[in-house]
Amino acid sequence: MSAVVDIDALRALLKQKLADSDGLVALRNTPSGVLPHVFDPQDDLADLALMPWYRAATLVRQLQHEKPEARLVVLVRGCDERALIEMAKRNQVDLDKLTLVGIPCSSEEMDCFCERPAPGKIDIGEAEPGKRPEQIDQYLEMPQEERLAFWRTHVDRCIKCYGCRNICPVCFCEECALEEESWVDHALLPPPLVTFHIIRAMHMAERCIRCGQCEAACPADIPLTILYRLISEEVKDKFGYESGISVDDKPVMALKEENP
Amino acid sequence: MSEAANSMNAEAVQEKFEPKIIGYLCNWCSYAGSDLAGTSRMVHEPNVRIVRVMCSARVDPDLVLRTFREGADGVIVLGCHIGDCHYTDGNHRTIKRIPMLKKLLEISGIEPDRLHLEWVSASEGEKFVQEINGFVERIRKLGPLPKGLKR
Repeated sequence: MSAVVDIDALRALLKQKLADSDGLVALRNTPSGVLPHVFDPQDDLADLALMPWYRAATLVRQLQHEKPEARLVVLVRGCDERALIEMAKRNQVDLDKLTLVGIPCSSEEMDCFCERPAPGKIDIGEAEPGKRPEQIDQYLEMPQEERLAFWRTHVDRCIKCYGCRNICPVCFCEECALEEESWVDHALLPPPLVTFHIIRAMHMAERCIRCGQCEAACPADIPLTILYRLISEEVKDKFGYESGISVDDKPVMALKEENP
Repeated sequence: MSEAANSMNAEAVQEKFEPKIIGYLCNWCSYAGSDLAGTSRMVHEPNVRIVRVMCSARVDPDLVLRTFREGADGVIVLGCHIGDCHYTDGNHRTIKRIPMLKKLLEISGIEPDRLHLEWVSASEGEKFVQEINGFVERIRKLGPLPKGLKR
């Protein structure tokens, strides 16, 4: 359980918000384990659970696709909020129909390399400072000539399970470039660095919300956050654009440069 | 084979290295520029295989990456000058994508100089020749794309 969030206060707040909505999207304790669930407005939330992490934004997208009119309350962490904002920018979710209840993550929960472990709007609890993963600065100290060898040793372990994409809270394309034979050879293991990992990194450049779930999910322990985070930092440096902060910041790489 | 002969062989191969370069040229400016260079009988390095595309913005980063994978040692993208795009602002997108991809190559440990973006108009036959020659020379110095990245 989260140390920084008072679960009883949270339950009370959620019940109050839930009363004027059609359902609450959160986790529920069941006899077969913790599962994502849409709680009814009358639910007493006794089974509410906070951990582990799940793809809240993707679930909300599916729910809104099936029931576009539903007004939902969503319990969000920092990364869930950022993911919902990114999805809303790309017309995948309708934020106007959502009520977000934000909670911060405690340091025990933060094993996912998060630099911003709290949503922009916190309803209950206090934010703890995030930390920049040490591996990123270690990587930056590495001489340029050694970087390729570094990636090769890691990427050679890839089993092309698509776990990094499947866990990603901002991936939603119906047709994924990584399954497109024009770019990625079918039936080739390990997948090539340039046409698999770098293509994915390029697609993540302005989208990555820095949740670190890709690396946490990777069965081959490939340090993907280094790649994604460094390129999204470059987007921030060049264009002053940071993903997941505001719906009004339009996806910068998809738009034309106004003053080239 | 003796070790000395081996290393001599390696040197011979090194000397013989001629880069394979793919050039993506925009139909409206740069391809016409290369045509001008041709009709003006200008001579340039023969290492570039030209692919004509309708706009430099059509050059998807995924396409560039696949080009490297297929064996290119360098990729040069030539498009209309800013303000001259046949589609008004196609190259306003190119100018974001290609530099970002170069940065990503650098982050991944691949020399970013293997990818080059330049504007060449239909009247700049001479500039076209300079760009091609300069790029070929640069890739010659860099050597072949590291083994394993190619197919």
